[in-house]
Amino acid sequence: MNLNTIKNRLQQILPFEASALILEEIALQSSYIPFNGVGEHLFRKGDSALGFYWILSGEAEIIIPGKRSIRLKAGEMAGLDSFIEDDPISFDIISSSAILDCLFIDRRCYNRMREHSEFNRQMNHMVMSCLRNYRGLLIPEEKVYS
Amino acid sequence: METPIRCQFCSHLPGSAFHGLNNDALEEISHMKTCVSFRKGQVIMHEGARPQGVYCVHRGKIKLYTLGTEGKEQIIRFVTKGDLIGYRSILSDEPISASATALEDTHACYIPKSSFFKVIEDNPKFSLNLLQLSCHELGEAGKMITSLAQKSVKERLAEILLILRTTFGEDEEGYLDISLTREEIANMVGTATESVIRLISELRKDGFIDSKGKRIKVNDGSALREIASVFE
Repeated sequence: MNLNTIKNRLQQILPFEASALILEEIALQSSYIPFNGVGEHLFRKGDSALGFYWILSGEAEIIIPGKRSIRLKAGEMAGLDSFIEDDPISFDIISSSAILDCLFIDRRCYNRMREHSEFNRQMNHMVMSCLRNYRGLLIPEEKVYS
Repeated sequence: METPIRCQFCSHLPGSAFHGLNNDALEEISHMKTCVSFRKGQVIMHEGARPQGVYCVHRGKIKLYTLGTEGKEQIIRFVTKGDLIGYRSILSDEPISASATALEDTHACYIPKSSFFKVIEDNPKFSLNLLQLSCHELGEAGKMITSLAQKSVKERLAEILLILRTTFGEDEEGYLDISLTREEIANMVGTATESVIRLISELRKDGFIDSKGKRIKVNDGSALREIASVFE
């Protein structure tokens, strides 16, 4: 995937209009990883969280033994919680769609993103989303109202 | 120069891990791969990620490095035409151990993991080539550890200048055919940028090297070998 396609995909998953300069910077400082097939590991439990995956398209799944799995869609981030905590990855995270396109964001790229207020807000939103996902697992399924 | 569509016509084939494969195998790889390009400064792979394929470099130069706790780079080695990156991580099913960034505009061929394993299964010669490559890289890593542990900064700098000359060669004016900042050289030597600036200046005064901006020319290889305690 070339730089322009990555920038376009990024703009599609962002809820705000990002400047071309920032998108270019993220595209250059992140690495693009295409997963082909279901069940490929983004992370295995215990991997060092030296970065996290930002899903451009497709779906991934956090496999939590004995619980419902957590599905991650385009725009969501896999491994962000462990990365922020500087902890090893807690659960296996696998691809759950035939094609999954991700960007891998390392500490350097993450720090640059955090310097921009809109991205900072988006990251905070993602962290809250992680917390919501895990909190949801604590509630028995039959007591979840839709 | 465009990346060739078919591997059997690639000028870097003899020096690559694919050498010795028959035409049918090379034709098959040609069908499975895609050609990708990276801009100067673009990150190709990140330490800690699980790559889903390998890159065979067709044109350009890439640095492989790890980031220390304070974000300081330690350059492990450079990768150039015909070299493979990402294969050890795929073979060991472990996250990649070093990040890779293009030092100049780079073209590479990307072979997805499943196709890479198919080539291994179908071609014992390729497996042997990979084994030799892994052993060679292991040996180089061992040398680097010894160098970092036992040699002085000046010895390491001299050794690295010689390695750069062997790896990338010289341009028509005799300068090393790679443009590295003093910081990048320091990251390879494993020292502070200021020390590298001072030592390069010393080597220049002694007439062993010449420098013009970022470019460096080795004038006296034997003197550098002596400083580096490298004997051929």
